[in-house]
Amino acid sequence: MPRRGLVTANRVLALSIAAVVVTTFLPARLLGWTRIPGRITQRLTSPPSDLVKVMGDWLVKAEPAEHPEPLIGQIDQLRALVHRLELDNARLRTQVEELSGVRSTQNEPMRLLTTSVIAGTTDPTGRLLRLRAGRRDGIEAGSVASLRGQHLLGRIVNIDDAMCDVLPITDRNAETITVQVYEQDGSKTELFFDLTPVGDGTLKGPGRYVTEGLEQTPRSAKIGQIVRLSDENWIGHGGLIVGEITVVEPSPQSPLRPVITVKPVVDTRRVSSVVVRVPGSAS
Amino acid sequence: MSWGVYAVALWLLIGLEVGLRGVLRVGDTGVAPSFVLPLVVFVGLYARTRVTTTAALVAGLLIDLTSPVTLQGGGTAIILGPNALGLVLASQLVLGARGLVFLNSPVTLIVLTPLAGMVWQIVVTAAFGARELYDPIGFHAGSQLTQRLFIAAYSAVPALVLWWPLRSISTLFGFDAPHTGRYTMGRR
Repeated sequence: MPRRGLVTANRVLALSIAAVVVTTFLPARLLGWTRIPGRITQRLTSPPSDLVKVMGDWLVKAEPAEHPEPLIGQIDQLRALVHRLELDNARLRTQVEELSGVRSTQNEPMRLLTTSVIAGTTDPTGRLLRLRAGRRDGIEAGSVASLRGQHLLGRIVNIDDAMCDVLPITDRNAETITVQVYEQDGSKTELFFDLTPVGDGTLKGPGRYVTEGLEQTPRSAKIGQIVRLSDENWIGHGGLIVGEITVVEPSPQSPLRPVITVKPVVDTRRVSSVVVRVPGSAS
Repeated sequence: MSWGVYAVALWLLIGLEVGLRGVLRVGDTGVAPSFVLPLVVFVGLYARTRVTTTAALVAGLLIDLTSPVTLQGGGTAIILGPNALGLVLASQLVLGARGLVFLNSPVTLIVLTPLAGMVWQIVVTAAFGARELYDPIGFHAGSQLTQRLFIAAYSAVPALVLWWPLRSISTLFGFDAPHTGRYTMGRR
């Protein structure tokens, strides 16, 4: 009876499963090599999902990004400029020297690109969104995705030539952002909060202590107020709407300090197209 | 089994799964059905043991490769394995159960899909939960497991819808497992 060869289908399958067991538990820093096959697979699987998503978006009336007219781009730049000046004003009173470097980066104009959302990840619990635009379209690291021109969606991660991913601000691993509370009539308050994503689509965080002047008395935010981005790590994007306050409660550690829960006005999982704000060149 | 037909079916169903998620999602949750799972279960009902396991492994790897996870600090990574392992184990459940069920009944696919899905999602949750101990990605096993079990249960809906199309093209798959000899493919 002839002996079977060393390489048999059963052995290959067993080895494959063993390799998969190993990669399942490898630390993420050792899995950088999976990016390339991942990108190829994502491109190969995107045509049918893209086609179906267009029909699905039409059915559920997904949020479109308004086309960025030149005028809207100018308004956007002016709003960012006003916001920057306000930030500068407040900081200059106390930290002129520290802000000199920040101001030089905030002077950058912004370019607005409209692009469609191809699909999310195959894992239904994931929140990453994949866009049909990449480096060849001018998107750069640090770009920010927004909706309807003024709603903050998230930051661009993983760029290649033709595609990029958006990490929404509501993803559980997104960074903490500082926001400012605005009244419903559009006037701003002096209330600032540090919001961290909870993982269920909302952001939650405590208010900042006001330590100078007559503002030392803690004040509370109200349900229904709008919060806008006011974070020095998001230079040039200040003033974008983050969401609406849905819960106001006292902090467990410090009852006089309010903690708010914010829900984005736009459902970040039902988006058909976005505006990418690329710093560095004018609209 | 014809791997070309399987590849095309897998490609189309991944497209349906991702593309229809916005429509089929339950409220604000991430609960949306899987279209790939009924295909893996269907193949598990009719194909040979090794083919079934390989098909589940391929489908799982495809899901892993198209599901980057976010890392703390804003990066992303592709974790190759949790879904592949989960679907391989889920396919073993189907292989174990197929001798006990009516292969020509849609109820079989509708019942086995959520059961296999539960195995799949428990393995995925366990794998990511274990990783959380030494490589944190902000994964909360409790809430994720609940959500993922609902996904498994919800996948019975695509199983119901996909039964007839899959049965109608089952001759193209070319299943040749001995146990299917009792039935003629495409009889119903």
